[in-house]
Amino acid sequence: MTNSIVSVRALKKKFGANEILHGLDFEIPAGRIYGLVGHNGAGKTTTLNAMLGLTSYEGAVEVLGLDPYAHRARLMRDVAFISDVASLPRFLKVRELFQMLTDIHPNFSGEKAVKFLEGTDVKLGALIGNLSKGMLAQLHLAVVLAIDAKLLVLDEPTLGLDITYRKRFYRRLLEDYMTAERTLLITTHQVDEIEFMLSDIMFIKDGDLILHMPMDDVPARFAQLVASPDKVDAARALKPVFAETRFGQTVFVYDGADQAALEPLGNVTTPTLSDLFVALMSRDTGVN
Amino acid sequence: MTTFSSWRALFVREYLEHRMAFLWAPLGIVGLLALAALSAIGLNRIRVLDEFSFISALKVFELGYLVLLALWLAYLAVALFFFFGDAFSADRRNNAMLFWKSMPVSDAKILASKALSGLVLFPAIILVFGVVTGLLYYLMINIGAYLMPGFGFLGIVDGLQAIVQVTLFGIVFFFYTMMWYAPFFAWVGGLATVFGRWSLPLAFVIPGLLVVIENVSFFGQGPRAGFIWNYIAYRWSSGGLNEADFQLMFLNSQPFNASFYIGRMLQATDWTQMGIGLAFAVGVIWLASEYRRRRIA
Repeated sequence: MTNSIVSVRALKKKFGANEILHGLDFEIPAGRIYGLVGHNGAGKTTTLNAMLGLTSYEGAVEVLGLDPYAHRARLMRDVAFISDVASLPRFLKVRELFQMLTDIHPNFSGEKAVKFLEGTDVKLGALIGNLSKGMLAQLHLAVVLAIDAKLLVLDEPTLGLDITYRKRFYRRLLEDYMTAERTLLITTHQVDEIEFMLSDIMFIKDGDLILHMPMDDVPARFAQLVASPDKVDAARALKPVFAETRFGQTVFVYDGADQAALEPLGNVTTPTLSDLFVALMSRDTGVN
Repeated sequence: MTTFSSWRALFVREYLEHRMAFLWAPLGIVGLLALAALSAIGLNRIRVLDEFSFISALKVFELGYLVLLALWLAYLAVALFFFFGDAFSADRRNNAMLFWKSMPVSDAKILASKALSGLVLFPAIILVFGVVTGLLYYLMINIGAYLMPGFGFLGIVDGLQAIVQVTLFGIVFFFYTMMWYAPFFAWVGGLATVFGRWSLPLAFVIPGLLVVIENVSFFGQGPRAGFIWNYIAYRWSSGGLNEADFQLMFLNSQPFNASFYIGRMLQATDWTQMGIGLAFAVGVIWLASEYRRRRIA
């Protein structure tokens, strides 16, 4: 194992006879913002659950030097996660929640949490069960931001929230959590919204990791071409990984293609994360 | 943060989550009792004490207070049955398990805090309500004595002595009862971890099925109704005091002596069964925590 925050080797997970993860290998160094992206059922949450000690697995997983399944409670001193913003205990008032966390969590600061709630609609005397989903998201974010964690894992943290809350959520995350020593791992379907903040991307498809690279390297490796109508056959000859027709234009996505060779065929850009997601995750690549 | 504060937080959590059953409902009962007493006094319908004029005010108080504590114990038993059926599965509702799993607290510690809340914290709270109703009853008796000249007063010294003696017995009896029945409550809690609220009927259905299977398989070769039934029946009866002791409590004209009855109780206890029961309870809670460790929802 290395000095990475997370080290995963040959991670497999079976539910009965059905193998969900087929031997994942990856490492996550400190100070990075990772996006783990995949379809529903691709294995994202199962991967996170294995990392967080929430489920058993085959293979070797180390998070902050600990086996998460054997030492979940100890690991959670330095790891914070949100898997569902609606999971906060509904019978508590916000103030009671902060007091309880102060007593339970060695790295939680009630003062910080109160500060993070300033400017929101969440009041300390409010019963959590009476908060709207947006307020719950704000509260849960305040809770995890007030934990001095080395690793923060967010599994679809903004599911069901409107665009205003989602944007505010990610902005605060960047402003208030990220430092050079902290690591953030996010899974979401709304990849466009987190693209701006990611340093690394991992695509998981049917239990396999099909892409794992720094975002900075994406432009050098992937290219998107909107081909001129008369150059479609030539573009197809350069072996795109994905092709589709949009508003009468044929769009190709290439993996490792020579950019100079693509330039004469049309408009070449770097694919957005969602374009890349569609290109690499689609069962029908459209190439043939 | 210390281990102590972590335990305290978990106990506070159980208290806050179940304060309806162990604070508000008992408060309501005390309020109703106080209201009933006030209306009885106000409407001059306190003559029921006339029926007890042949025994001393001290005895009326002691027996009444004992009966009140017994009623509170009955309330506690019912509330705890539902508490263990609910608390051990409550985290599965609303995905709350994910929140608790994100805390640096083991599943064993969380379930242990639930069990200890049920067996120590909540009985202690209910006992406080028992004492409060005892004090109300003491006031009631003296007001009755004021309204009915034939009925003697219970002085402060005698009253205080009786309160201390009965309360002392109540504390030991409550704690003893919780320890004796801990395996049953742990059984309900363990089932709740797996089956949720279905644990409530299953706590009886599963042993019932075992009894039927045993009787069908070995009918006529064992004791009447089978070994399992006889063992459960033995464990179901209170382990310490017997019927004669309770009769003595009510018929004895001497002031209530807590140490006498506590001594009788401890002497008559089957300590082997007490130990087996507690070991069973610990084992079930540990197994439940291992099950919970492997499950998210």
